[in-house]
Amino acid sequence: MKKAIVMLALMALMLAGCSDLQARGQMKDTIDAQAQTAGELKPQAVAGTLSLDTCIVKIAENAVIFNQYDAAKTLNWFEYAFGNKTIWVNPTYSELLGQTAAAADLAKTQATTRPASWCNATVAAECSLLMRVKQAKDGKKD
Amino acid sequence: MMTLDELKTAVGTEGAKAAELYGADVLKMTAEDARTWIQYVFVGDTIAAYKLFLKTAQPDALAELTGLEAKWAAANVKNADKVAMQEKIADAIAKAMLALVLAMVGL
Repeated sequence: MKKAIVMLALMALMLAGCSDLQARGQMKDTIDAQAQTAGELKPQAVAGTLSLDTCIVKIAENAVIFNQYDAAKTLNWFEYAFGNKTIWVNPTYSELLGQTAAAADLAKTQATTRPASWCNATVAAECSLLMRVKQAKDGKKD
Repeated sequence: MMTLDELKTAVGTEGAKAAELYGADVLKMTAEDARTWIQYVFVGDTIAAYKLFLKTAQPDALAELTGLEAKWAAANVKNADKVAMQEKIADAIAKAMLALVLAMVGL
């Protein structure tokens, strides 16, 4: 009994010590790579210097990425550790990933009818979000 | 109220591309916003000017993404605080255990 309590306490400690958004395997690398690309692209998008065509392509790509993140997430630790889900999240991040994927889809449907200014600002906002996902995974602030 | 064609004529060939891209939205700006926008540009605060323009131009999906960024930022601060606190706890436990382990190996 004592042993079980110690084990549970250790397990709780291990879980509590981890970031509320974790990724494993290829997904971890994907989040890092996407955040790096976003960090390089964002200054141009903020300056509004990306062409409309580039923005439309990027917004479509980002929608795919955010949907990948959303589809890979689970709130269940065992499903993450032993199943096919590659992102473990707490309820807050679960909701945020869902909302972000939906917003990215919405942006994708609007991009082709919007001016370059809007598309640049959208790419900038999405780049920020891609970087936020990595920060969450790494347990970091800005 | 000025039309888009009148605006294009007013800016000439030099401003034709800008008028094509942004003209319709510029014409939607209120007089107050237009005055504020000009002030931003004059003092070099182009980001503020850009955001003000976007407020008029396209408020929907972009606003949603921008709102989400604020939520992510807030969640990340809590997350980082939690991880930092856990690191302190782990440090404290490691220090306490160090004494035990050292004693066990007779040091």
